[in-house]
Order: sequence, then structure tokens, then C-alpha cells
Amino acid sequence: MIQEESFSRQSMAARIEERLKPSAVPWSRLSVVPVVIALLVSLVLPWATDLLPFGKFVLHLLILFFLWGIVVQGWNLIMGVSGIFSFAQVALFAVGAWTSGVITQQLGWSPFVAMWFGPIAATFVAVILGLPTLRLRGAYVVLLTLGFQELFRNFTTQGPNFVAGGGYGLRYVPKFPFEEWVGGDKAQFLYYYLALVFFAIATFAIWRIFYSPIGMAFRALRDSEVYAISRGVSPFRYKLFLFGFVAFFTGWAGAFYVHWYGAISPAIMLFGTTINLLAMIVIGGWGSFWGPIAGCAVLTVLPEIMRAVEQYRILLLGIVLALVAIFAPEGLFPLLLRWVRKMLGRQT
Amino acid sequence: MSVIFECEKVTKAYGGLLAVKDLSFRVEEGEIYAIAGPNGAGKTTLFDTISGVSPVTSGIIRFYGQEIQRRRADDICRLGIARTFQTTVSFDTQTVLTNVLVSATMGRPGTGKITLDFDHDSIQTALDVLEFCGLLEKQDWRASLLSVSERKKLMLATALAAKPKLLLLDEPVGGLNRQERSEMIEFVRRVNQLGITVLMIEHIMKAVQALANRMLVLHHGEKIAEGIPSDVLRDERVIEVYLGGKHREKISGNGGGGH
Repeated sequence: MIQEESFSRQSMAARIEERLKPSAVPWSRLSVVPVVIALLVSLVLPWATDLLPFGKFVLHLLILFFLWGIVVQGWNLIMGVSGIFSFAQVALFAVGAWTSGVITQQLGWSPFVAMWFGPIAATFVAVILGLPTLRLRGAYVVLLTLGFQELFRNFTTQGPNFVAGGGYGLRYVPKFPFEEWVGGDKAQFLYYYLALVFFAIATFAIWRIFYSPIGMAFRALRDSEVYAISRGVSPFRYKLFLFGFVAFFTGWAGAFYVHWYGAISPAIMLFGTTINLLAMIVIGGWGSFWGPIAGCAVLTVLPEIMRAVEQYRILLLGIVLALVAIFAPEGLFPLLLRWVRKMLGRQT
Repeated sequence: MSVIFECEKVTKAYGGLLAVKDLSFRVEEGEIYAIAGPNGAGKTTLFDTISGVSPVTSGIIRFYGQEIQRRRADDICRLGIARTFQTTVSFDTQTVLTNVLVSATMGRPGTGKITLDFDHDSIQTALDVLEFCGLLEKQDWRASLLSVSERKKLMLATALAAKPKLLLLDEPVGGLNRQERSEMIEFVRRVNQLGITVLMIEHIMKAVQALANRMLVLHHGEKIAEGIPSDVLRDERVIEVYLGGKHREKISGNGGGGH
């Protein structure tokens, strides 16, 4: 193994190729065709929904999917990939929303400028929150992060008036000026496209991390922390990067949310939202890349289809979660994927 | 021969309990040095302090003359000291190749920066090491699916992928059957022939005799004998600690100082 260092660069590359099994590698290549197709479809989608009688509502759901999709992917990176049970992701979403919202209300800045301060604030908070989790394990991380979420919810309920709005949270937050640009109906299109850009950037960034040495380090720390450290993985560096990186996009989604709705209520930080997002990750398949995105799509659309049984929604969600946890702990998406591969394999 | 590694009056205390007490020894470049001693003698604790997993209470640890007792564990790995663990560990959910890539990309000297891509050198190192360890064919297996001896080999492979100058082996032949044992002994010899100095904990004396140039015996955190294996194993105190010690300890309630 020592002598081979004298090999030329080219023969070295050849030596690597011939010995490497594609199924063993932790990296992944982006296939251009599906990405281009997905982008094209997403670009024409608003125009397609416009033809439907309830098209506006579909567009609304798509924007929600983009926003929660960002949050869920980030949370999956922390919980599924890195095994850190942080329950403060919705709070970080809220930090982003409140920061950007308050800036536009109090300083009169444009949402386009303010929305960058949301993610910066969320990143800052997340790194501080991440420091103690370097020492804490398991249930204690849950306690700390849940505690923070509760603290921030209380602050946004009972804090100074420009934050809490008398308990209602932020109201009459300046929206993105899309309606002034293109007029009522088509404004939603612009919201859609902006959310799409956010989602695409966040998804690409997370995909890049997921299949990089950084993602490998996260998984190594999750599987066995002491072992990973003894092999050169710095927990300090990687965990703080993880918290900050994820919080940036989570806060970004929050900032978008507040300038889309024009309001945000502290009630968003009640446990229901967190459980909903958790269900997206668990049902989709935590630790996998596409699973949480698929889970997010399903759980954004499904409740709307099941409006008729609205009062049983939480109950059904609970039952599905329990069933998945018992029978498909990896999640449904990886299960489906394996099933499809098996079917394809049988044909050839 | 030059000294590659040195412990000087190393002490590790847990509260009032001294797990390692004023321990000094030197390891020379290229040799295989064994540390033996009964259960609870402080062997693994010593490894934990050397590898930076838990800090020393007092004393100095030198590697190529440089003090390392305050360094973090991931740093120590990149300096060129890699360890294995008594209970076999692996990154269970990852493939064999990925297991080795972790240390090849993060644990080799000169690595450790956060990067977005896997570099050629690391992939090359990982494949070379897998080939050397006979695990290349199983590179796409999940680590958890390997047999016990294969997982042990994989743990060694990840240590080698960090390109260490000093390898710390914690009971390399423990938990293996007779045939696997002799394979492992042969393997450690091959590793040593690559120019890697080996410091190993082992209380299976056959393995120590087969491999070690020198050894020391640890008892209640203290060195009670040091030298070439054939001499040390004839030492009266060593024989007492290994064979007769237990009974005497039970009676006096303290076997450390009374001999």
C-alpha cells in the first residue's frame, strides 16, 4: 500500500475506478434529466393549477409544501442523519419569522432586505443552542430544545408589545410587494416562484451536504460518537456547523412565511406543528434524503383531502405514526423504493 | 532506535480512585510493545488517556518528543496515533468502504478541513487499506452484517486508513477463536512490517509472546514489571498477580501494595 504512491495520477484514477463498487460509495451524482424535468414541471405548475376550479388553493398548498419541506429536510439532517434529538426547529422557524417581521414593522425596511436577517438570527440562536448539546445526550437534548421552544413561545406571547402584539403575535406584517407589481390574482404566482427558489436552493444545499464528507461525518457521529472522534471527526466543528447550517434555511422559511401570510401567531410553536413535521419525517423515512420530502408532500395534501374526517385527523396521524414506527421503522419511502427496485429487478 | 512514544508519570484519577498511577514507559520506533495485566488494572483507561478520549489527571505524554496530553482525540488521530477498542465498534449503518473513508478523509495527517468532496487520496487510501485487510470484496456490505472477526478487521482497517505511525490495539485477539487468533497475530505482524509501531493491550500470553518485543505488566494502575516477555513472564510478582493474586486479594482486601 505504500509503494503505490509513486503511481501517476492517471493510473491512480484507473486503479480507483476498477476497485470501487458503486453501491459502496457514500457520495452521489446528480442526474441532470430528472432535475431539469422537475424544474420545468415546477415552473409551469402555477399555470396548470390556474385551469383548475380550486387552483388557488392548490397553489397555496404547494407553497406550504415548499416551506415545510425546507424545515423538514433540515430537521431530518439533524435528527435522522446525525441522531441529535432537537425539538426546537419550529422555534428557529419562528425566530426567523419574528426577526424579519419585526424589522419590517419597526424599521420600515423592505421585506426583501429584512428576510436575510431572519436566517442570520436563527443561525446565531441555533449555534448557541448547539453548544450545550455537544455535551448533552438523548433525552436531555430533547428537554433543552423543547425548553427553548417553550421559552420563545412565551416570549412571543407575553414579551414586549412589538413582539407579542398583545398575545396575538405579529399582525399586519408588510408582505412582499407582489400585489403592487402584478395585481391580485397573479401575486400568488410570484409567491410560489419565490418559495420554489428558496426550496430549490435549500434542497440542493442539503443534498450536497448529505452526500459529502460532512454528511458522512454526521452519520459517523450518530453511529458511534467516541469511535468517530477517535477517527478524526471533530464533533465540535461538525455539530455546530450542522446546527447553524440547518437553522439558516429554517429561519429563511420562517421569514418567507411571515411576509407571505402577513402575520404569525405564537400558536405555531404549540406541540401540534412539531408533531406534524415529525410525522412527515418518520412516515417518509428519517435518515434518507427523499423520504422526508415525500412525507412532507403526503402530509401537506392528505389532511386537505380528508377534510370530511377533520376531527379524527390527529387520531389518524397518531395511528399511522405508531404503525410506521412498528412495521416500517425506516419509513415508507425507503420501503417503497426497495419494493420498486425489487419489481424492476424481477423483470430484467 | 529512537523513542517514538513516552509516558512520564501519567496518573489518571476517577474521584479518589487512581486508575493509573505514576506510570512511565517508553516505546521505540518500529517495535511491538505489549501491556498486560489483570482486569481492572487500568489498561484501557491508559489507552483512553493516550488517545485523548479522557484527559490525564497529571503527567506528560510525548509523541515524537511533542507533548500531546492536552490534545483532543480527533487531533491526536491526525497526529498519527490511531487506536482500536476492546469491544468491537463500527459505523453500523454504513458500508464497509464508508467506514474506512471516515478516517481516510478526516483522520489522516493533513486532513480535517471541512470539505464538500471526497478527494482522490482519501479514496485511494481507503481502497488500499481494504485490499491490505482482505475486505475489498465486501466493501459494499453494511458493517453490521460482517462477522465478529471481520468487524474486528474493519476496526483495524479504519485505524490504518488514518495512516498512523503508532497503532494502539486494545485486546486484538480477544473474543476470537483459535484459528482467527493466529490469523490476527499474523496480521498484526504484517502491519508492524509496514513500519507502524504497535502498542497493544493483551492478556492472552500466547499472543504477547508471539508478537511483543517488550512488555510491561500493570497491576492496580502501577507498573510491576517491564522487559522482554520471556523475562517478565518469569517474574515472581507477575506470576503472583496472574495466578495466585486473586485469592490473596480476597483475604487482605487490597492486593496492590502488600506483595
